[in-house]
Amino acid sequence: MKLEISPEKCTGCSLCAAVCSARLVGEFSPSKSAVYVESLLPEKVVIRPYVCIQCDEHPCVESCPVEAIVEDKELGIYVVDKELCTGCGACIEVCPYSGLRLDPSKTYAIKCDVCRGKPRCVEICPTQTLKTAE
Amino acid sequence: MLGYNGKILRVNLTKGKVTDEPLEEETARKFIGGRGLGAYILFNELKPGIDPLGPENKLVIATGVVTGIPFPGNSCHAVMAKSPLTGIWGEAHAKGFFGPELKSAGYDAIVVEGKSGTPVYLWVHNGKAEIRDAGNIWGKLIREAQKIVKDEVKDDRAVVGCIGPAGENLVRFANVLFDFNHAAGRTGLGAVMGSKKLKAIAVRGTGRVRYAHEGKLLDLLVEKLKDKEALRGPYWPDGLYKYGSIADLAYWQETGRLPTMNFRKCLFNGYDKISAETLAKSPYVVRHNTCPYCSVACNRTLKATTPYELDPEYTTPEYESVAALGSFCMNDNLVSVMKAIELCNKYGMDTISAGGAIAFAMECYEKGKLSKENVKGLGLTWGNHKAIVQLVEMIAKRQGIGDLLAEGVKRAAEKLGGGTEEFAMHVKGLELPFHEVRGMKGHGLAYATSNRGGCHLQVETDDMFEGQLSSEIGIDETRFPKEYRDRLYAGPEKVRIVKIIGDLFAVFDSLVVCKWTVYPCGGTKTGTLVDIVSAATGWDFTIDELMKTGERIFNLCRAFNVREGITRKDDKLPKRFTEPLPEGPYKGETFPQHVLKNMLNNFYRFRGWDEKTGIPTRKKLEELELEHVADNLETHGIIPSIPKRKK
Repeated sequence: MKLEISPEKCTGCSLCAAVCSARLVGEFSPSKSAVYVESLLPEKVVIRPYVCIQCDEHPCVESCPVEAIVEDKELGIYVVDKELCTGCGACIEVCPYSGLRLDPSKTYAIKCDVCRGKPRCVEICPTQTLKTAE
Repeated sequence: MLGYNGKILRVNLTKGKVTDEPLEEETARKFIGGRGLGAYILFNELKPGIDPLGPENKLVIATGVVTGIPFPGNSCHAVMAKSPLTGIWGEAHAKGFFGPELKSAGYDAIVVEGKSGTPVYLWVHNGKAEIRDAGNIWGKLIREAQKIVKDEVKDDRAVVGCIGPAGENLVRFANVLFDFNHAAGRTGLGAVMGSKKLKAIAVRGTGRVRYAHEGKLLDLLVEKLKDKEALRGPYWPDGLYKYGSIADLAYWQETGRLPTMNFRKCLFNGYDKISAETLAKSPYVVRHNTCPYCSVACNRTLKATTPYELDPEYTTPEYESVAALGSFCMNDNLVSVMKAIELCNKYGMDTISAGGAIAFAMECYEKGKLSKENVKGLGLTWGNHKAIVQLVEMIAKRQGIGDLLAEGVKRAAEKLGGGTEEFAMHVKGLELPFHEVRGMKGHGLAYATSNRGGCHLQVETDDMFEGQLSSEIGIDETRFPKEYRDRLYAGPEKVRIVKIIGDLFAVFDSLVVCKWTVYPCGGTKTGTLVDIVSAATGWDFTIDELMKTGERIFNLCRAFNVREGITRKDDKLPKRFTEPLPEGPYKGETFPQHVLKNMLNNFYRFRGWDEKTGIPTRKKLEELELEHVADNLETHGIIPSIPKRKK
């Protein structure tokens, strides 16, 4: 499963980040969500969400020194194994989509796991900026 | 306490001191936040009769229990003080990023008191606050000032609320701008900040408020967002997203109630040149803007180069602003309307009052009450967009005739004399927003009785209810059949709706929610708000408690006003509304004084106030658990003292 982003539709409301963090860490903390929106800086002229789209090239996998980004064959996606991840940030450096980010604790990288097949951000996005793609 | 930080920041500018105070749960539950909390603090702490621009006045910025909870419409906060424009209860609301950020920074509210000798700004971050020198930003326009503050605090995610030159120059309708374009617009609170030499308040927080049932809050959000159709604001068929609130302009024109030419006309020939559809089709809209966690995105960023250059960061085309600087002044030049709005935002001034003041000046000029000397080279004729744009800047800088208009239309008319009072369209000193009350009687009563003067946001009625019921708050077909909801009906049942909605809106302004997202203007049901409050705080909140809380807050603000001398005599409408509408579907319609008189009788009766004076009775205040308010009014000789029992 892949995600598709239509940046021009985004209004910057950040509801995606709210529901994402609620699922990942059980609280509304946009800084801990896998999808994040730049609009939180009010004067930003370009607003769009950033999230891992599960690209075919996945340079993050090769960049990881401890092989913490592992394949989930069932869903056809790559996810971060939090236990293995050291939070070095190498994957974040190489991702051309700015799809990964470091948890505020700096101990692991946050990467979207498409909510195990039913991405909530897609479900709630008011403008269909975020969609699923096969 | 869950759902709140339980902490209020008190800033004394005279002493240069900041202190933390607790927000007790009992106070929070009784007054919620926003308007309610501000009224509680200001009623207790302000002495009646003080100068709103003196050091005795206090400014309260308050969030509410829902502020920052991810849900459409929850990103609001209230700014309050005694108003320098009206001399009574002053209140304005802004949306955007400031409220949620203040809550993340660890505070529910800020109380600013005293007066600084030199310009300062306040920097609030993660539970700490400091007063800093603002010598280098005093005099700067909104954005320049905000950028310097962000540089100084070394955090570009800080959110800044700030006054512009209009606030510094004590323009009586100066506002406070949060970000660049979210204005706490009405009642001149920017001038209160200016009088205290407080240029800006910057907030930044990374903390979070604890909620009782976070999972439930998420469920409520997901459920809300599933209804894609309702998300864009159900009030408008094409959605607030596409047109914003300017969709109103065409509606009022089509129904013959678009305030034009200082309420002398109700149709504007050039309306389609400044309408929402024209704007939506124009090349000026760069993108849609939103507040955090809102699905509506009613705001837009505009760009244009001719005949005026527009600065995209400032321009916010809202109905009231477009009507104020457009139809009300007979201006059909779209870009000039946007330019005038941009300048209001740049200098920090309320667009409604600015438009009202300019239309007042135009009528004075037309009728020979302002000499050519007064308006040198302005060409102050109806619809002259160059004059409008120029005058906005002159008011902000208090230059020439702008100095007079900066006092607001009530004071300006008093100074000019010569019958100009009849052109001053205000209630209790607050310039009227753009709703033609001759064609919507409930709104007329709302204007006359709103606690902040001529205001459309403390009660909405009439057209709004013709098609929309809400059985949860008792507005249903049985109790209010269609004829009672008719826009021209002015009988007791209409008054009852005005009372119910006044209470409901009092609590909306305290929660604090955006009225575009909740009943009757938006899709979120009142029951859902009650669920959000309960999930956030762990209280077993109910609609009954919500409505009673609203009534308590409405009465508290009225008590604040009666202590300043407001009584029945002040609950009135401008004389112009007794004259017939000149054209359109409602041609000939008036708002006669005897109609208002009857409505007021019923209003005071339903409110449990004294019918002769319009003053809340002790019985009513005690029923609302406002004993301390009744005692206070008694001390001031406003309500009779309780006869002492014989031993």
